Amino acid sequence: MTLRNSPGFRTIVAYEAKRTWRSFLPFSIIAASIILYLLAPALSTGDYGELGFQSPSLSRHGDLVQVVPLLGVLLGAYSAWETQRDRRTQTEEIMLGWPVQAWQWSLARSITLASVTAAVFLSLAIPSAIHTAISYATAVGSNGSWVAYAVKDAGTISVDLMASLLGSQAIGEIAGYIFSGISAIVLVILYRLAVLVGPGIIMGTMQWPYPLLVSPDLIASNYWVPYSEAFGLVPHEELFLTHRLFWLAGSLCAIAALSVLGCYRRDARGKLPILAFGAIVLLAIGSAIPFIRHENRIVEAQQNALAAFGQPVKPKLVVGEDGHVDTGNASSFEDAGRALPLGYKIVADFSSPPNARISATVTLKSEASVSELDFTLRRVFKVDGVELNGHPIPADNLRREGDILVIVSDRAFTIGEVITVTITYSGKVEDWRLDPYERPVAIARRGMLVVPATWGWYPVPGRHELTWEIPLTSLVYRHLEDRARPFGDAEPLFDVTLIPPQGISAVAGFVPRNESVGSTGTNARGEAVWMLNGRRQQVSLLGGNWAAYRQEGIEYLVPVQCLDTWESCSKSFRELVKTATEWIGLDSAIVVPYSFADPQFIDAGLFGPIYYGGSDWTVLYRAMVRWIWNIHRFGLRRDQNAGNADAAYQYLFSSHVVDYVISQIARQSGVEEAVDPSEGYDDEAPLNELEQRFREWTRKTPVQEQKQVLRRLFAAARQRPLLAEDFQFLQRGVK
Amino acid sequence: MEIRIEDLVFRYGKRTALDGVNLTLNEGVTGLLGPNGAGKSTLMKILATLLRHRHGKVYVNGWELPCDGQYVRQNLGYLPQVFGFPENLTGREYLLYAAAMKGAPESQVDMLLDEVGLLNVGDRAIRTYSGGMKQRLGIAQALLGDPRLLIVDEPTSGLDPEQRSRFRYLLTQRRTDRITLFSTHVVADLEQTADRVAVMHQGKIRFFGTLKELAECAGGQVWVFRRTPSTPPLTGAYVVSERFQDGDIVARVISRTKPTLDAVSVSPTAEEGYLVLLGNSGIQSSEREGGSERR
Repeated sequence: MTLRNSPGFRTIVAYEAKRTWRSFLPFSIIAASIILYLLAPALSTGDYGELGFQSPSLSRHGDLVQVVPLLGVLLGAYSAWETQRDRRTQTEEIMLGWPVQAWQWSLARSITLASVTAAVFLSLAIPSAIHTAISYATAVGSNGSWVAYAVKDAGTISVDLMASLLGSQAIGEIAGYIFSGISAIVLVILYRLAVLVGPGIIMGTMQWPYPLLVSPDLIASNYWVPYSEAFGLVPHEELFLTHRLFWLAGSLCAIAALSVLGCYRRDARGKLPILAFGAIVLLAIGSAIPFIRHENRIVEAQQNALAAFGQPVKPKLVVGEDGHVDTGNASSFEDAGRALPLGYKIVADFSSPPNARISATVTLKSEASVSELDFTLRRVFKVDGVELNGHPIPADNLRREGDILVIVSDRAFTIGEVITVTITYSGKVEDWRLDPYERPVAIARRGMLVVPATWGWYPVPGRHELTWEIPLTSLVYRHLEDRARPFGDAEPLFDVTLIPPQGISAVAGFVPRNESVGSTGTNARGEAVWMLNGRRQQVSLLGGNWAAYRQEGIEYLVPVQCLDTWESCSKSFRELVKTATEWIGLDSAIVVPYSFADPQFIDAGLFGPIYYGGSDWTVLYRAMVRWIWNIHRFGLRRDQNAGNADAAYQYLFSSHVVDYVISQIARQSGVEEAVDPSEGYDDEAPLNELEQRFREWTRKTPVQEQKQVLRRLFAAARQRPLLAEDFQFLQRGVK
Repeated sequence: MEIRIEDLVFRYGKRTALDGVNLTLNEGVTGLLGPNGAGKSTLMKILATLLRHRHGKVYVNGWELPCDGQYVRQNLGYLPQVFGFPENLTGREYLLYAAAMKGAPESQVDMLLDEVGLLNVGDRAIRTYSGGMKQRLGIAQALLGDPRLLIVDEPTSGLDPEQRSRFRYLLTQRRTDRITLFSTHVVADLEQTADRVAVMHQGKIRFFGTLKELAECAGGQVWVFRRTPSTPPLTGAYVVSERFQDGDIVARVISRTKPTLDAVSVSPTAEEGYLVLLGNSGIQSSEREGGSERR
């Protein structure tokens, strides 16, 4: 008798459903799931709770999965209880005398239980999907594409929820079949407790469907790592989805197998169900192989990285109250002065992810009569070739010493000689790690490219110590320092050509490069090509994919993953940017939801800050202020040979003008109380004549006029060292 | 329709519940008697296909159990001794469920509800039923579909006298064209319904025959006599009953010998035959095993 030709099966399902749904228990579990869904934001550690109707769907779900195990306990216990219901109540004593195959009852009961599971799932998935859709639909700049993003996120969430809940049902059914009465429920609870609070290995080994299927990195963050570490950096989407789908399939198979192998004493267990069960076990083990291999790859990569990195050198980071940063030995500079970099021409080809092939041509001015040139280039890169002044260097003349590449010339360079070195190197992007145990800091894959600012991916003259970074602490200062120290006073110009992976429609700070007639932004192979001409600070974050749009005169580049929260997240921020634009002029801003807990340490590339997509605008404002300060510190041109007059004006600008502008921005954007704009500066110090003049000018000059004048001043400061004549307005002011 | 049982052995772990049962049942009502633990329920569960035996043969109308259980179940009405109901269904819903599973017409549902006296409460949830009402509902589901094999395990327990009478009527109405196996501790129920009776003890069939033949097991051993209340009780005789009459006690006892000079031998009842058969009276009868008394 098969399911199809069994006349009573639908009736069995209908009556079993009637029995199940006439109890208050399913409704209690559904009510609990709704309550937990509503409470999840309050239990979360995220700061999106104040964002109103918008919220980051995956982060929100990340909070929800913290409480889903509670539902899993409820659902598992309920499944165990229901599975043994007829046995417990001795209802089966009569029903087993009816001409129905026992497996039909088992299956009908499982289907009925699945209807409860489905209801719980829908009570979570529907509001989540609606929330996701609303967040994306109301995102600024969203057009038709938001549907795809919403569907993708909602789908990911749904798969995860369904896998978890069906897994709970399967575990409950297993417990219900094995044990009777309360002991089955106790088993489910103990199992869940072990999974929740046990050490990682237990968490890994006890998750359905059996130990082999779970890769440790998948459970490292309480098993929710689809887009962890915010902007990817852990490209586990496929693995995550594979795991969840397998979990889903495994649970379904288990439920089906239980139906056939159910512990009914009445019907014979034929060979077919046993064979089917064996096949399921073998399939489960077989399907685990990719996960095991992935895990092995991670372990192997860590071991390789450990061998490559050697012992860690911890950075000594000190952030002064005035915002000054001392990175200590974060990047030592041992032999500055041998050669001064004048310019870079970099072609970074990420078109075949995860591999990158980079060609960097560095123009240097020799400052010492030496025959060896040292470059610091991360050891993960394999140097494929080096040319010196257009001539290939034999391999014998190249030496790798950890992160150092030594190029030996046939002759000693003369002081002042301009040298051109082209280094071609390649490597796997995922190997770019800050330390052996840390996850990759870079991603190259279809539709996504994240290469953080940490230098080392392009050669820097000299011997520098590439330290291990303490995760999530001082990256921004490291970036800033790393871009400043190795170059000393040199200001090399960068010409960067980037061929990102397919599927990237915008790259932060880059513009499409036209290489051939009739082709816009593509090369002969049809690949998108992007270019950037700028200074070292601009070669910060090679990133995409961004949703680019212009709003209130500012061009925003928002990672597509952040679109759903952009509207809510950026409301205050946009006001801040708008005000800042009025005062100092801004070309663009890039908003990236970094995972840093403290946005004070966000990156601060000159093309714009990277802002945390959170709601703590006090912190955001501090970051904004610091960004402006960093513009002054690293972005503005200073003339080392400036005369006294120019130097005095440059000092005036860097201290009082910037300070004043920050205070004005704070006041006008409504966050004045958030931070003391003069933070870090000594207000009690006596003012010199120039400072008094500036203060007087600000008092007498209308605000609109001040804005115009200062915008010009800031624009000039970004182009060249400020001169005394740039401050003519002060002369007028004091007259 | 015939049930044939040959050398049936069934064990629960080390405990033997059925120890070489041989029995052949034909159409009609067969009562199954025996003390607790005799193996009655085990035998009924095997016939109802709820238990799978490993030793011995069981044929129901030519179908061999347990492999042909599904065919047997299509002709089976079964009421176990201990059972439960889906308590959040109504009585009518439950019977409709059972009717659907058994392929019985829905029209039988109300008819049976009426017959067992539950028509007025058919739409109430089963959890509101009393024990007796649940017992009657169980009987109704067993009768659904006019099964040709009806197995009822102590169906009258928990029923009041009126309902017991009604149940007996239901059974006698359906005695033709089917085999009814009816276990009970109440011999009076059998006296009014059973065509034959099988007595089980310690996993064996100790007797199989008519009630009259069962009664004959105590033939010449049942006595009635009068005694004064001050007379000490008899020893060596099993007192079946004592009642007061005209200031004396009229005693009915089982004894191999004449207990008193004025004792009068009377015709034994089936219950007395049963007592003698099992030796509960302290008096063993010559056993009439099913093997020699098969019909």
